[in-house]
Amino acid sequence: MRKAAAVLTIGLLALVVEGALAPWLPIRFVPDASLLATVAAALVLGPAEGLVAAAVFGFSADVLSGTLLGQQAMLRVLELSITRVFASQLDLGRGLPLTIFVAFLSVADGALLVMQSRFFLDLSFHWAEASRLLVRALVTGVFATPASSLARAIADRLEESQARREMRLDTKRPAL
Amino acid sequence: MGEFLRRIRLPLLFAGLLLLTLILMLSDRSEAPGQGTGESWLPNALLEVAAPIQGALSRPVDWLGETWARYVALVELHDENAELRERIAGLEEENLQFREALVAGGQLQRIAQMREGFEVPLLPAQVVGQDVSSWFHAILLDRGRQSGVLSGMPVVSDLGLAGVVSATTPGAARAMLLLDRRSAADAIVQRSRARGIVRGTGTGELEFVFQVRGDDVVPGDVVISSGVGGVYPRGLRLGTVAEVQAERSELLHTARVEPAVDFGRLEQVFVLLRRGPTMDLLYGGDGDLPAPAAPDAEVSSR
Repeated sequence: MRKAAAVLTIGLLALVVEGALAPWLPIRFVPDASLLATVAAALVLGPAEGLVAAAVFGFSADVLSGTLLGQQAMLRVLELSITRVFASQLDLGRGLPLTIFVAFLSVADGALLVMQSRFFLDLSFHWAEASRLLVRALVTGVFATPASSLARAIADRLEESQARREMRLDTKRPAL
Repeated sequence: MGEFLRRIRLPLLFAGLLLLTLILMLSDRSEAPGQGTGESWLPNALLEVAAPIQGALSRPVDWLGETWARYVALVELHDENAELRERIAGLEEENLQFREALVAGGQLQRIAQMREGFEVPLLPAQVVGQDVSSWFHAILLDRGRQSGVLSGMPVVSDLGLAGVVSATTPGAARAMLLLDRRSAADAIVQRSRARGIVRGTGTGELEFVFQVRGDDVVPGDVVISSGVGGVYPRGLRLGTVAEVQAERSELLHTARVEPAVDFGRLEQVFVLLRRGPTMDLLYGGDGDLPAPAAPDAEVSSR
């Protein structure tokens, strides 16, 4: 529970910081914080906690951006499930596979967002945007390893402190 | 039974979340075309929490940028200064000539009366956050309902029309920029009065769709809002025609328009505290201004 709360807090903070810095950076060079947080949640948290965290990240991204409420939340839930499936087959703990996987996931995210927007909002897609999407996918991929490492380090530390607390409880028991 | 429930718990949660997002999307779409009214409490609470944090985070970056611009990037300042002085002299001369012409035509008084009729209170607002999604363009403002901001109110910058408020909370507001694919404004070319629609393309540029009547749109033409459509007031600068796309077989032509506003560098904007009749119909209400909170509302008039 503490692990989930920590990952949620860091993910939400990353989203807010990203939004604050966005006016000074070209969007294509800004990694998708919500997607990175979702991947980290998939790798660190349990399935149920991860699903809820992914929905919260997507929902927050919807509120802070101009998308329909639920649009990115749906994608995050799907992406968390995809990440968990791939993590059971590939070693996503290593840098390169994770980078490549997240870059592909980011492209898929863009494509799905376009499809959703066409379906729900009747918006058209300009091919000129494809290059921007690819650059952003690469940047997001590069940031995937540090983001998941950070999440894993925090989770390990919390688990360790929890284990220590449980051990301390045993010290008051009378000696046998 | 307990074992069965435990086994289907995850698929149930997955399906439930997907269903919830689908319902949210459908309800958000039906609230207003392309815009949420921001009336439900959870999105409001998130916006309300995010706006001050983003504001606090953007302040040091603002300060750094300002310091750089004021004290470091002073190369060519002298030349620029001389050039600006020259331009001011030219503009003063031009202004004088216009005033003379207006007084001579007896129009000055009529224009003053017209401005009184058109007077719209402007509320300055700071841009504290920007949409980082690849496909949509929105900004987060540090003023909300407490300052009199309502969904549907136009947002302008000193260079022209920036967008429209799409959601509000007591202390913050989200505005959909003109660049957003869902944005559209009825527009005219200032020179030839050719009329059409300016739409966001999502790529950082605007598209002007107009009816072909001879060569009445050429590169360099300034496009302004027409006031038709009841969303934006008349005469706000939208951009400059960069290229007219030749589609001679069609009745409608399109032109690429470079936006007047530098959307990448938006720091301060003004909210026009009066929304058009269309937005009033869309969002409900009689169009009266809500009373702004006294200390918060630095309202200036145009």
